Amino acid sequence: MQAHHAVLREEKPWQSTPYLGMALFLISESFLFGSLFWTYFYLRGRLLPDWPPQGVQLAMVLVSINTAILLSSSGTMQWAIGSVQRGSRGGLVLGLVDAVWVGVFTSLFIIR
Amino acid sequence: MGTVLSVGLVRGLIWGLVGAGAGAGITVGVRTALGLSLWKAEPLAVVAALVGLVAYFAGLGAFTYWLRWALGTKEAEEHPGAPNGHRGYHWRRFLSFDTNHKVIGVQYTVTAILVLLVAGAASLLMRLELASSGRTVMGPGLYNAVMSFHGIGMIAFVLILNSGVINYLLPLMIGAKDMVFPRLNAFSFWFVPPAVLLLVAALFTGGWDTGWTGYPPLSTRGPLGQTLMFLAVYLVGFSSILGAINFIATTVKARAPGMRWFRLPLFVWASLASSLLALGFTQFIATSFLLVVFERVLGMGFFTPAAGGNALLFQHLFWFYSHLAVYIMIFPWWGVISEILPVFARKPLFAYRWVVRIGVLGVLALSPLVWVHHLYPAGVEEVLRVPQMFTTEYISVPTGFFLLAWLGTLWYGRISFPTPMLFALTFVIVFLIGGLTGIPNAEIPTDLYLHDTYWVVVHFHYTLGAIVFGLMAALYFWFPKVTGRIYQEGLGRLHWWLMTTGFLVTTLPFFWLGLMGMRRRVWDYDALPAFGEMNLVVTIGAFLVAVSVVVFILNMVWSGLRGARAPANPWNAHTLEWQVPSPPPEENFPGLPQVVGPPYPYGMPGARHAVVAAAGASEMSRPADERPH
Repeated sequence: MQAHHAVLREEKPWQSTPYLGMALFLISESFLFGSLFWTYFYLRGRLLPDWPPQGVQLAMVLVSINTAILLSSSGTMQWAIGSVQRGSRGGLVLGLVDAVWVGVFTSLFIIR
Repeated sequence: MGTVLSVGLVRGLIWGLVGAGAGAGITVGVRTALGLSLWKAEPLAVVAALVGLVAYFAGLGAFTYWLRWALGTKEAEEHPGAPNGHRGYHWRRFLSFDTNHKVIGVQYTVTAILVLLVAGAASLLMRLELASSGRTVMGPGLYNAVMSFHGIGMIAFVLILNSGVINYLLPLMIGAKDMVFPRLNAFSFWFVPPAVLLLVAALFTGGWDTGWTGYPPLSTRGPLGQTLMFLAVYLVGFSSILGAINFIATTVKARAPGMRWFRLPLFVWASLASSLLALGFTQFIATSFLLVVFERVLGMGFFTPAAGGNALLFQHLFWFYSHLAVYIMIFPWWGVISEILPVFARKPLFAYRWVVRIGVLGVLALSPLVWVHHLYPAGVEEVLRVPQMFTTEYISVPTGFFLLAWLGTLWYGRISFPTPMLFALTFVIVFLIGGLTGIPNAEIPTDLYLHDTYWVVVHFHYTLGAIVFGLMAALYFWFPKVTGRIYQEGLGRLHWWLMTTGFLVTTLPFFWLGLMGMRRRVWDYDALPAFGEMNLVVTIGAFLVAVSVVVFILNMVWSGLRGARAPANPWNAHTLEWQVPSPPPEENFPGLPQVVGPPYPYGMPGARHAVVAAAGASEMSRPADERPH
């Protein structure tokens, strides 16, 4: 999959092609969070000092539950990685399925 | 029946439809369980589309390799689309999940041309309506839908097309066997067909009348088609980001020995720049559209003042990507033209290193700092307006380096004029006019007058419309390489005459109409006699372009099936893709090519860009882990 190194030389792990691909993906994701921070600070800065406006509140319970569920998917993902490093395929599959399912479950709140 | 079902696309679509049905079922089920009203169109459509998408990928076979890897069952085949180990370019591979970059490149390009045809047909409908003032063929509602579809269709066309051209050429030009992440590459492409389907579905679910920009508050109130259009753009964006990861990683890691940075063909530099921009900034349009979808589906208030939102926020997020997107779109075409001109002028590309240093890197650096010129009349923050007026003016300097390089290349060249060269030269002139007419839009005082007139419409149809000329140049130039056959030169020239004339007749009157104050985006105009005449001329020009496209398609189809066999290097070009047979073999190069010099040594006796070993000879001299297993 990553076999086509044109120049063959000793590579440190962080110089490998998969590492580069993952780093690029994380850079892209950091832009996603950048845009969300922009959104937050723009709304906040524009409407200070009365932001959020009167009568607008976050649904704290729902948001907390969703955040907790979403964060737990990092745990299952980490477990999946640990499992595959130990050579346990079952743990990997279970962890991945769990992480995906948790993501789907959070998304289901759209239905509301 | 078994044959039809072995085609990935067919299976993907069937599974996708079943998945969409299941998604709709889940929505209704959960809503019933929660005691909500059974029917609410927006969540239903969103969940159905998402579940359908996952099912479509599963049916396509996109997950097969990863699933088998995770479960530890047998390895998936390298080219599942190729029936029974078929190694040639069988047609079924082009309709299935295939990992070869050349197959994917063709998939992207053909899809893009299909989108171009549909979006172009939409523009013909618009021109029919505008042929005279008052109602001719449709009312304002339908006109808005058709106009919006034309806009987003053309944006999607260019983004898809760029991925196609980069996919086909990049590995060949840098001397690689394939992209470094071939499965991710195929995965990126297969986001495109559902995106196109969603766009078409959006037309039939009420359409949307915001134009391609989707500004709230209008977009938060439109019919269901608006949401589907946002989802479609989201998918194209996903494809674009994943593609960018692949293109950057491939350029960094898979260059042939001796391919130093200043020996890269300019197309590779331009693709790298385009990918670097697409990698991160695409997230901004994704966020802006996603927030509108959240507002529509979940009732959040990002853009509604009463709920603490701000409509201007959308324009910032949207244009932060979308102005930069014109550089994402045009960069590869600057590269394509820089490839074609030296070949037909038989001279090295003029000032190659300075084009890279100032042209590519300068545009890269300035492009995130110019978006506010879209917001001059919108009441944007004063602190941003004047600085961004200057950055918008400055970005024409690095852009000018490309034009300088092209003119310098042509200067005293031994120029020949086959069809690709004709289109390439037209690109240069059209893009130059586009650039010059953009300067009044960069200045705040003139822009306030011109902003909502046809002047802006014709300006961006010259800058981005030039891409169509670039596409034609590229298609004729690389046609022998991709298909292994020669196109009809006579038909090509006829196509060029019709298309160039048609384009000029269509667009030149717009400059005058814009200066006279004809408003853009509107289905009707004032019934002045001069306006009517000019608009009739424009409509006739548009149909001339349509005729030229028919000639083009006839040429491509006929030559692709019946044309004479093409040699490996019909243009006597030096870059690596011409040093392999036409069409290139499965893994491009028999061994590792050796790059020995700069990419455009035209007119220099004895100079070489690269040495490619003859087929078979070098197989054993390759390092052990580079040999096929």
